[in-house]
Order: sequence, then structure tokens, then C-alpha cells
Amino acid sequence: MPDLYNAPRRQPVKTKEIRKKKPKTVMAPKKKIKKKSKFATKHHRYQRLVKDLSTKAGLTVNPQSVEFANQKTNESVLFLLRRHLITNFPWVAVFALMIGAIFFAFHFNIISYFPSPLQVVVVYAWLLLALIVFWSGFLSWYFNVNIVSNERVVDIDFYNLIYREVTDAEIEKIQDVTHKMGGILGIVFNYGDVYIQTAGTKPEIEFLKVPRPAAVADVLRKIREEIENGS
Amino acid sequence: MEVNNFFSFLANFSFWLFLRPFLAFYFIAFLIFNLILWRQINLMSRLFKTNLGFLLSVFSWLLFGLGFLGLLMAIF
Repeated sequence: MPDLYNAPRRQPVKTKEIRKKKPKTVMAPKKKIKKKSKFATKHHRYQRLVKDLSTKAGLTVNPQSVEFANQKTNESVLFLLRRHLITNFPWVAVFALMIGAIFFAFHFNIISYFPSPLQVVVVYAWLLLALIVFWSGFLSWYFNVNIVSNERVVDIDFYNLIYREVTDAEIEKIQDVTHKMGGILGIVFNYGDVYIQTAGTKPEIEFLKVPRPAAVADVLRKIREEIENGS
Repeated sequence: MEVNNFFSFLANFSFWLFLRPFLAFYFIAFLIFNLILWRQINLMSRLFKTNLGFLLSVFSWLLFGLGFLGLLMAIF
């Protein structure tokens, strides 16, 4: 049923008083606050801990040009460890003795025992053998690497130039860090082993004969504490 | 005649006769070992890379070249 009477809607009266403009509040210009990324803070914090270490004798702090497999874009190497330089003494001594033996052989004319057409070849073969001793010794030192990054700990073992084993564990999974020093050379030159207990499938990562094991273990311990304290 | 040859061979026999084949064998073994090392260096460089990677490769090739030269010297 239609309505008999529809009252007209009252329009709101717009008076000047009512339309008083609200005073504009002057907003201060927003400052652009740079939000530090999680990586930057994490990296910076660990860098502070690494400051106690210095580069020498197989320990490289903040290496710039080191990359390793499966490295994440945000991952940076805090320090890199190889065996202490003095542990290379045995193969360096063998190499030096082999080179010295050539001078010895020439001096005492031992070379003349060999048939004359092959004398040069024998000396050459001996020199190459010395070079192989040098090369294999250097490579086994160079590729036996332990890397500590802001994300994980990597242990690359290079056995007998033919076998290799790579172990890595996330830095959060470090449970316990111990170090061991011993032997005359170890005490004199300050090198030893660092054992890292992890919660991974391979429970222990070993850094063998690395320089300054106490300082390295200490840094790893501090990193673990930082993580435990709610980073 | 053949018996004479055999005896003359025995009379002139010396262990130095084995030196040349031994040296050839040695240099072949050296080359094979270097090839294995070169491959291993390549694989390791993928795993762990530094600025020295290029130098390692160069030194590896140099050793290979020296080994090949030694093989030629032993054969000819």
C-alpha cells in the first residue's frame, strides 16, 4: 500500500560557522629510517666477535675472495682455517733434501754411474719427483680447509689427494666446542685441534692442527652464546 | 749363430738396459697422476674457490708439460 504522505528530507544546513575548517596540523617530514636487514645485524655482531682473531699462520680472518659450494647470497665467511704453516715442515724438508741430493750427486760425481745418454733424463726425473712431492704437499695443505661463516661451519678434508670429505653444520646447531693442544711443536707454535659437537647427523666436526685453537674455540663459543641469548 | 748372439747378449747384459723403459714408464705414470690431480683441483675449486685457483691450474698444466717433455726425452 503506497504511503499517503512522505515528508521531504531535511537537508543539512551548511552554514559558514559549521564549515569552519579544521586547522591543518603541520606534520613533520617523515625521516627515512633505514631498516637494518637481519643479515647485516647478524654479520655485524659476529664480526665483532671475530675481532679478537688476527690473520696469521693458516688462519685468515674476513677473507675477501673466498667462495664455497652452496654458499647463500647473504652468507659471508668470518674466518678460514688451514693447518698451521709449521705442519708443512716434513714435506718441505723432503723437497729440500731431494733438491740438495742433486747437488750432492754432482759434487761427488755419482751421476757418472748412470749410462751417459740417460744421465740428464735421470736428473730430470728426480727433479720432477721432487716437484710432485712439493705439489702434493702444498695441495693437501691448501685444500684441507675449515670455514666458519655467519651461517654455518664447513669442514673440507682432502685425503691423499684422491679422497675428500665435506661436512657442514649450521652455526645454530653447535652444541659444544672443545680444543686440544699437545706436543712440543703444538705448544711452541700454538696450534692444536678444535672439536665442535653439533646436533646434526655427523655429531662432530674437527679442525685439526689449526693455529690458535683456544682463541678459535672461544670465538665459536661466543657465537653460540649469542645465538642462545636470543638473537 | 743364435747361441753366440745369446751369449754376447749375456756378456753385455746390464741392469741399466732396464733404465730407459723404466724412465718411460715413470713419466707415463707421472702424466696419469698429474691428470688425476688436475681433475681433482678442478673439482675442489668448485667446492672452494679463492684467487689462487688460476695459479693452481697453471702450475698443474706446467707439470703436465714437463712430464710430457720427460717422456719424449726417455723415449728418444
